[in-house]
Amino acid sequence: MIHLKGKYVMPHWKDPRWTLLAFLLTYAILAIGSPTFTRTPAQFFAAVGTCIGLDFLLITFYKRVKLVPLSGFIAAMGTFLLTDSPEVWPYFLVAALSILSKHFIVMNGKHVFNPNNFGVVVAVLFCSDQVMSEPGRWGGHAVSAALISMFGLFCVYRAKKLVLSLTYTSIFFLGVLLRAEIFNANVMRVMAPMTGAGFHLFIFYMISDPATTPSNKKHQFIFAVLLASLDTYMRYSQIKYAPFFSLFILCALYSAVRAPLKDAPAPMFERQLAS
Amino acid sequence: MKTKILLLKRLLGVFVALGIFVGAWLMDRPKPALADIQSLPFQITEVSQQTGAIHTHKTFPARPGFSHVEKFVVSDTAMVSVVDYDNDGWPDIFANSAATESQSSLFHNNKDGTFTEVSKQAGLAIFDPTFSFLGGYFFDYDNDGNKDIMIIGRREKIRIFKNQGNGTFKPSLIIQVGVEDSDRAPLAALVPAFIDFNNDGFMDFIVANKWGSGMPNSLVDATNGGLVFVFKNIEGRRFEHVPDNLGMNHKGFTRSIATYDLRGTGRADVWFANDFSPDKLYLNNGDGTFKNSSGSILSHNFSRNGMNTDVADLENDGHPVTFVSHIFEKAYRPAGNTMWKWIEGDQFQEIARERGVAKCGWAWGGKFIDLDNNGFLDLVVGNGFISANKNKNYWYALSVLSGADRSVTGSPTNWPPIGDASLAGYQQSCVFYNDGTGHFTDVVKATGMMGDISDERGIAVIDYLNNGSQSLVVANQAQALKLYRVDQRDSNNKWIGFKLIGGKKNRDAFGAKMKVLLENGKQLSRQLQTLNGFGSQSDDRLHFGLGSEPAIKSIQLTWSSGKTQEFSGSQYALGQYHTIGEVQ
Repeated sequence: MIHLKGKYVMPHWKDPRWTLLAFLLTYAILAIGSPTFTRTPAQFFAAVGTCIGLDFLLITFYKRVKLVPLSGFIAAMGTFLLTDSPEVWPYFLVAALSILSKHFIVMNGKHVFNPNNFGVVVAVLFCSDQVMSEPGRWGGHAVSAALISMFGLFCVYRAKKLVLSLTYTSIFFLGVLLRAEIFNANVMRVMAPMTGAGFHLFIFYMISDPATTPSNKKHQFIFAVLLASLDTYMRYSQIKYAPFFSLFILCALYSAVRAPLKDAPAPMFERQLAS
Repeated sequence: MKTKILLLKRLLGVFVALGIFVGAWLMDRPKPALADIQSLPFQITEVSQQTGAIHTHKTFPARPGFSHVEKFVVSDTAMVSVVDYDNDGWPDIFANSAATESQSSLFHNNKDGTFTEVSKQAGLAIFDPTFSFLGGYFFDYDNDGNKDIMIIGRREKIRIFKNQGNGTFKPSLIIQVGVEDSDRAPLAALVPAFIDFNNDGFMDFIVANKWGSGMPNSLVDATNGGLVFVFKNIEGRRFEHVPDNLGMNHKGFTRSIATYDLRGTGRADVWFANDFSPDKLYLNNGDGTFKNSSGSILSHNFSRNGMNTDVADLENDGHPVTFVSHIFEKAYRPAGNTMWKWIEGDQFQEIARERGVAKCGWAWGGKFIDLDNNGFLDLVVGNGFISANKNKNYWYALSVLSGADRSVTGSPTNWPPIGDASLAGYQQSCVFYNDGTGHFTDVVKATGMMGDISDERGIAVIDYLNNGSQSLVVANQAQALKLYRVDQRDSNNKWIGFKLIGGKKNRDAFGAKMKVLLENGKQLSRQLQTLNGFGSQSDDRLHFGLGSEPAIKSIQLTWSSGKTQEFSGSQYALGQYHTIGEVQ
C-alpha cells in the first residue's frame, strides 16, 4: 500500500493487478481504434467513469479510505471489452452491476462473483435485445489469440492461478475430443471456440480473478475441472454464453464452501487495508 | 450497531440495483404500438390468387462441398421486378425461379386488376437445362425506348435480352465476368446496379458478388468475399470491362447496391450493402471517378449483415437517408437495421434506432412507400431466413463460428450441418408507419400482412391499378410470390404521379429528380432510382402522396443530363399519372 497526499492510498506497484490492467488497457485502446470492434469513446468513458467513480465512492463510504480504484479500473476494462451493444447505456448498466455486485453480493466478507461476469450475465439475461457479448469482434486472428494467451499466461502466473487456467484449458480440450469422438464430428468444428481470442480472454483474464476463485492449487484444479465440465455440457446443450453462465454458477457454489475449505485469502489490497 | 450498518449497506445495494434494473427496463420497453389502433388510414390485402399473379420460386442444390450448409448458401435467390415492358402505361411483374428447368414468370398487367403469365410468349421462359435464373432487371441499354432485361445466371455470365418493342425479348449480349475463385464459391451469383458513371447517356453497370471463396472467414469482418466489376456501355452496342473498376476494388459478400445522388452533386454515389462485413460507400468525384468513403459510415456501425439498400429524401430536405436492412435477433444480433442520413461532405449519421426502424428480424428487402398518400414515406421490410424445423435452431452454430479463427470459419467443412434446422424462420414483416415526425412505428399487426411468415426476399413497389395506391409485390424464397394490394381508407389524401422519359440518351431517366412545391409551403422531393433494394426493382414512376391539402404551386424537374424544367402546378391534374419527356 502506498500512501499518497491528501489521505489517498494506492495499491502497491507489486500488486499483480497493475500488470493485468496494463494489458487490458492496451486491448481497450486497440479496440477503440479497430473498425471491427465497433466500440466508441463514449462507451469507453461510460464504463470507466461508472466503474471508477462508483468503486471509489463505495470504498470511501464504507471503508473510510480514499483508495485509488485499481479494481474498479480493471472492471471498467472488462465491461468495455465484454459488452457489445450499439447503445451507450448498457455500458453504464454493466459497469454499475459489476461494481455493485463486488460491494454488495458478499459472503463472509468476500465478494461472490467475478464483477464483470456478474454484470455481463445479468445484462445478457435481461437486456438481450440490446446487449450481447460477441467474440467475433476480436478479428478472428489466431495471432491475436496467441498474443492474448502469452500475456495472459504472465498475468495468471503473477496472480498464482496457473493451475486453474491450464487445467480448465486441458479439460475443455478433452471435452472437445470426447464430443468429436462421440458425435463423429470434425475436431476443428468442435474446437472452433478455442481458436478465437474470446476463449483466451476468458481463461486468462476472467476465471483467474484472485478474489472469486480458489488459491489453493488442489482447489484450483477441482474448480477448473468442474468449470470446464459444466461449460462443455452447456455448449453441448447449445446455451449461448456457456462460459459466463458456468463461471457464474461455480462462483456461487464456491463462495458457499470457501469458508469451510479455508481457502482464498483476501485480495492483496484488502489485506493491506486490514493491516 | 455493526449489524444495523451491515443491514443498511445491503438495503442500499438492493435499492441501487433495483433502480438500475427498472431504468434499464424502462429504456428497453417497447414503445406503445400504433398497431393497437383499430383503423389505420390504409389497408393491405393479399391478392395474389385473385389477380392471377401466381408464381412459386424454386431453389437448387448446393455445389459439392456445401451440401451440408445448402440452406444457408442458396437461400437468397428470390427476386421480383416491376416493369412496363410493353410501354402500355401499366406496370407488369417479373419474378424469377432459381431452380434449373423451373420457370420464371412475366405477368402482363391486364389493366383490370389481373395479370396473365406471358413468359413463354415474351421469350423469358427456360433457356437451357443448365441455367439457373437468379435475377432479371430492366433497363434500356440501347436507348431505343424499350426496357431490355439483364439476366443474372448462376455462373459468371450476364445475359442481356433486347426488348424488340413488340412484347418479346431476344438474346442480344453475353458478358463474361471474370469472377475470381468462382469454383470455390458456394454460389457464383452476381448483384447488379445500373449507373451512368461517365454521364454519356448510356447506362453502364456495376456487378458485385454475393459470395467469395469458401464460407465467410468472419461473420463480422470477412475478407474473402467476391470482387466488384464495372462495365462501360459502348453506345448501346456492347459492354466493356473498366480495368480499375473505378477504384471499387474491395471484396465483399454483397447483397444489394444502391446508386443514388446522396449529396445533391448531380452524380450518383454507390452504396454496397455487405453481409458479414461493413458496408462500402463510394462517393462520386464528378469526373467519372469515385472516392472510397467507407470510413465515414464505419463509426457507430455495429451491424454487419447488410442485405438491402433503399434511398429516399425522407424529410424532403435534400438530405436523403439510406436504409440498409440487417439482422436483429435477441442475444445474437441486437443492433439491427441501419438508416444513414447524409449531413454534409462525407458525413453520415446513423438514425435507425432513434427513428424506430432498427429492430425488425432477419431482414431482407425493404422499401420506402407512401402507404396512405399523406406525403410521408413509410417503410416495409421483409423478414425471415430459413423456416424449417421449429425445434431446431442454427443460431448457436453460427455464434460458435463467430468466435473462431478466420481459417476455421472460412472452411465449409468446419460449419456444422444445418440439416432441417430453422434459422430466424417464421418471421413477420415489419410495416413501419411514418407518423409525420420522422418516427416510425411497426403496424404490421393491423395490416393484411400479419400472419404471413414466408421467408421474404425482394420487395418491389407497384401501382398495378394505376389508382395512386402503391401496392407491394414480395418474392419469397422457395415459396409463393405474394401481391399485396394497398387501399386507402382516407379518401381525402390526393396524389399525383409522373412517368419520365429521357431524351435521345438515358431514356430510362434514371437519376432524374423532381420537387413538388405545395401552396402550403411544403416541398416533396423524389429521385428516380435505377435498381433499389435486395433482389428487386420497383415501379419506375415517381409518385407523390399529397395529403389532404394538395394545391401544387410548382414542379421542378432536373434530368440526369443536368437540364431543368419547371412547370406550374395547374398544368397537371391530380389523381393521375402524367408523362413528361426531356426537352432536347
